[in-house]
Amino acid sequence: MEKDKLDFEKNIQVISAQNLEELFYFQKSVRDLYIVGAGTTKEHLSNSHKGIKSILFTRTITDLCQIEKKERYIDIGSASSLAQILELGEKIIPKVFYDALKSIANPFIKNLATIGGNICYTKKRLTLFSPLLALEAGLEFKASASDTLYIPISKFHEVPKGYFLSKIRIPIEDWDISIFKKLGPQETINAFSAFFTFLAQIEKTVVVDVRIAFCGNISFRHKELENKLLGIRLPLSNKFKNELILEAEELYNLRFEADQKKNKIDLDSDALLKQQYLNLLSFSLDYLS
Amino acid sequence: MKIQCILNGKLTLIETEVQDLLSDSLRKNGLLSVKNGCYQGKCGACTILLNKRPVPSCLVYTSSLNNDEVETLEYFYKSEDYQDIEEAFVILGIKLCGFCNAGTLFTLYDILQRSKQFQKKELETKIRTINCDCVEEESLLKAVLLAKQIKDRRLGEEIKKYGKR
Amino acid sequence: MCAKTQKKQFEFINSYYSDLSLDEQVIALIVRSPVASGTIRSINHPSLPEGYSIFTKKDLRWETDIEVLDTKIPLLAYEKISYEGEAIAIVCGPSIHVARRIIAGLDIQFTEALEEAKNPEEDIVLHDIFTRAIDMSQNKKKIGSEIESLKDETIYTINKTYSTKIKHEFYKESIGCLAHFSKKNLSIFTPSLWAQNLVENVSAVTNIATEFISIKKTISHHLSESNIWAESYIACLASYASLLLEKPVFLQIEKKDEIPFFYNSPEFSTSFNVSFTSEGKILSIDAHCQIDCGAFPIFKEEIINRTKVACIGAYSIPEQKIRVDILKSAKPPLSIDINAVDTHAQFAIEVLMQDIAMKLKLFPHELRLKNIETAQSGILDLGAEEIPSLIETSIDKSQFLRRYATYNLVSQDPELFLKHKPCRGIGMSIGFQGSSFASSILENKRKELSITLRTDESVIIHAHTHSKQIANIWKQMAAQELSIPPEKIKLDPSYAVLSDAFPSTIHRNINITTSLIKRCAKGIEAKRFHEALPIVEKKAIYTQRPKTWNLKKLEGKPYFSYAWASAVIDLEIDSYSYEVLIKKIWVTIHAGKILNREDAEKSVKKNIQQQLSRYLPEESYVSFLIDLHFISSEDDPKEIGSLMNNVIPSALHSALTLALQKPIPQLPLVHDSVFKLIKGKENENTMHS
Repeated sequence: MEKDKLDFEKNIQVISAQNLEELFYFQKSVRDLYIVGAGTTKEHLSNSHKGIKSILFTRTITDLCQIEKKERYIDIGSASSLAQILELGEKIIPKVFYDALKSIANPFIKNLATIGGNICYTKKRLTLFSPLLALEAGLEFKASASDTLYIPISKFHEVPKGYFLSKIRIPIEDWDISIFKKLGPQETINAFSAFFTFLAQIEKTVVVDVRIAFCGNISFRHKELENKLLGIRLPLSNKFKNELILEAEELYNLRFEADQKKNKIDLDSDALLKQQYLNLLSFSLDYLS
Repeated sequence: MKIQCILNGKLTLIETEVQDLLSDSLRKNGLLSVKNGCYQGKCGACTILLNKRPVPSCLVYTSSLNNDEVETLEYFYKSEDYQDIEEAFVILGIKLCGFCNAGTLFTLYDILQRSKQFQKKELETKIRTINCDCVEEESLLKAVLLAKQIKDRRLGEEIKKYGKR
Repeated sequence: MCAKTQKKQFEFINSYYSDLSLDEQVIALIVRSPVASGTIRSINHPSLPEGYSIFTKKDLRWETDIEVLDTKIPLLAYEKISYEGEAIAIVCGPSIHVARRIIAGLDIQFTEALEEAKNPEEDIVLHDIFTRAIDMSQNKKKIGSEIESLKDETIYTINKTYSTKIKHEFYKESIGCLAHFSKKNLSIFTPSLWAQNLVENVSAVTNIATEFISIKKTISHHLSESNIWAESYIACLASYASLLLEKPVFLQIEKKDEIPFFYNSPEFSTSFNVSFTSEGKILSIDAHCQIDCGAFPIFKEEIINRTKVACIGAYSIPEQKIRVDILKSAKPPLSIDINAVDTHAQFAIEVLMQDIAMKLKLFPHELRLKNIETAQSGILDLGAEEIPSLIETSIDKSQFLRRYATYNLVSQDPELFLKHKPCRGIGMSIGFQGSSFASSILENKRKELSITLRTDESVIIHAHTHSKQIANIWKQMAAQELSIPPEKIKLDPSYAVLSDAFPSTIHRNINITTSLIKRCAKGIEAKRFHEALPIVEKKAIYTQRPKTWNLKKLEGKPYFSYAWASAVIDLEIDSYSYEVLIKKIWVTIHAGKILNREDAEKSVKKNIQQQLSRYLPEESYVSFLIDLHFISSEDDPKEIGSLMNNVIPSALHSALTLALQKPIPQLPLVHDSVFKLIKGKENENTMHS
């Protein structure tokens, strides 16, 4: 309890890096260096992170705050603040990502909190994970200037040891249907919080691409479900839609059971979250009906 | 440990412990415009300008500062941006309670700096971040629009006087 | 006590106490009990650093409790722990971080109490049962004959329980103070709104005579949320520590502890057993209210008496039985907004009306109008004659009948429920805010005020309020009566607060003071051109008159004045996400004379927002429409600061009940509860189809 908290606090070293080179140096030379964005969750210097000996805040490293827009993707430095990204506007960044950013906290917190911190939060997937999962974002991790790892967000569980998140690459595509919905309390994150994203591309009444991502107690994209929709001619029939919802429920249950074996999942909230997921899926499919 | 930053325009070393929050450090240094209302970044009472952006100082570890520019209300009060807002307040008869001043004034400052079109919905979202009973939304909306006029008038006069800056 | 001495002992400081500091000041932190019940055997630290001290109950040489009217609250528990987290010690020293480390390193030896089989009756510390049966012989013509004629009618009954438990969330300076004992004198910098209670308790705990204690009154924030006893409690701890250390002591409650230990709002539950006819005439009401007041139930009598009044409210019900139980539990002492003590009772009776209306398939307003008590001698007089016009206005403005019928039809039809997404509901309620309760233990029975017309023709009103709006109203009132510009009128800040036995949040209410101001002003006006200046005029009102109010029989006029309001809320429930979206709110208020409409509107709208955020804590409030209508009159301005507390929750509950067609188990309401209610309704529909 309190005792643990205090023992741990005494010996923490805070390291400052001015640029990426210094960061690489400290990454190599300082044992068990804990790298965070702005630290707005205030957990890093608390008893939930026992064993941290050294900490480095990336918020001030300009090299990690760069945003570069290309034709097909946008690269966002992991220490970019949420406000910085939001200011790019709805026309530059994908709508679902924009909506997700808007829904986070308040403008003052957004001036401080970083995209890297939001993605790397391990206790629960936070707001941005779901739209990035749907958008098939890629994560770039670095251990040094020459040692780089690229991990698609769908395969991301936690930051690889010895690396830090340097960049997020978000593909830019045209989507005919973009839906993002934040569930649960609007002003805070708790066990009832969840995030739903639905994207669809339609060409001449045929669904050519569809992405469905949900992050709550469990986080997933159901590729089997998405594949069933690919190539379907619109409008969707009610029968097909209902079958799809039933299948979505089964897939959800399977995924839930698998995750429950690995992690402790809050059971109280799950009935609600599952139903909300199915409701929103139904709502999204109505757009295709 | 000592942390270097540019505090209210001066290069300063702040004595801090690792887990100190910036709101507490600033208050220890006599900058009492920073108030602690929630320690969650929700109420705005501890708002400061960090590199010209309003942030809740209760969510910033002092030890994370790295030559950042930190401005509190004590410094902001001397600026022309503040005078524009103050004039609007006087005209509208708005008096703040003293607790939410940092959040209210820096919110209005940020709107005046960054809002391009001053659409009501956008303004409402930003003003809604201020959690205080002393002034309600409508008055603050009027204040920001009036402050904008005052600011435009001031800048127009400066341009006339000094040419384009 | 002369005015000069009073002035020395009480001073207003235009600062927040947490912005103040004195040389050699130390901070103090509270150590909390790790167990819910039991006994502390010892509290030690293996190596207490120099300059740091730990004080427990054993160090308190004189009084060890604070007294809040009818209740004693221990300062520091030792032999008997009453709840988990109860204060058991304070640690003092120069650094807050070191103090926290000391607390973390404390060796607390305790004996945990064994769990005993408990008799629930033992938890009831006080209860009151009121019964009334209308004397048929006296009221034969009206009620008696009605009931006689209904004897052959089918009588319906309903059994319902309603409960509420609000969680506070607000952003303000934490409770605390700065105390400094030096050379026989003790100065306390505090935002306390109950100076006399603070001084008396500090004097008892420190054994320092009251004339050597001076209060430096700092800025108070969020008045209606104030826990009026907490500052006395904190001041006693800080003062005692300062006495022992002979240094200034700064004691501020940590944010994480503030709400659980100082803003623990009680859990209310009211059960009703009601009988009524098919026409909607309520024949009997048996209400049982239970209020969990924590380990040290404070203001028990006040809560009981005002709850009884509110349970009946404006309704004329021939047979009434009201039982109110004050329960004790292993929780911190309650904090209650004294201006809204009867909020739950008003809520419960109003949602009961909705349930009865739905059962009988009557419109809610029709049911109310059938049962409203109009002023009759010998029965509860709450000014109910204002209600019909309130209800009519609300119904008319909100097109209530049309919406109610439509939403009800859709919600009830299993074929349409959730097919026409989202579910919609509309609810109405009435409620009142009474000022100066005639049996209050928290107010002076006799209220007086004086005004001085000075030689320079400026006016001083010898009263004080912390509310700018109320101050403006008083100034305007005096200005009107004396034909003097409001700028020439001031309030006297050195008003004798110390001799004020009761908290200033409640007794310096707008209505009485306005009435006194008018009378004083009239008195001055009569003397103005005949007597030399300055002229001082003093007037008094007895707000507690045995002739007009009988507590035992609940007959007469329980309040000096009251403001009535009616609210209608139109909402929808998103059947995908279970979010509750408020579409529009209509509020009609009988407010008396409105001196500043803008201020009044702002205050009411803020109150509405606050209530919604309490009862729908998961929603964010994108702007919704509020249609506010004041029915003004020449009556003196009425107290409406907490009026929305008594109408919004019940209107909200009624709207939700209509939308979901199911009883709402408890407010506040979260998405999970909505989901379960909808699922329940869907299952019912499936079973019936």
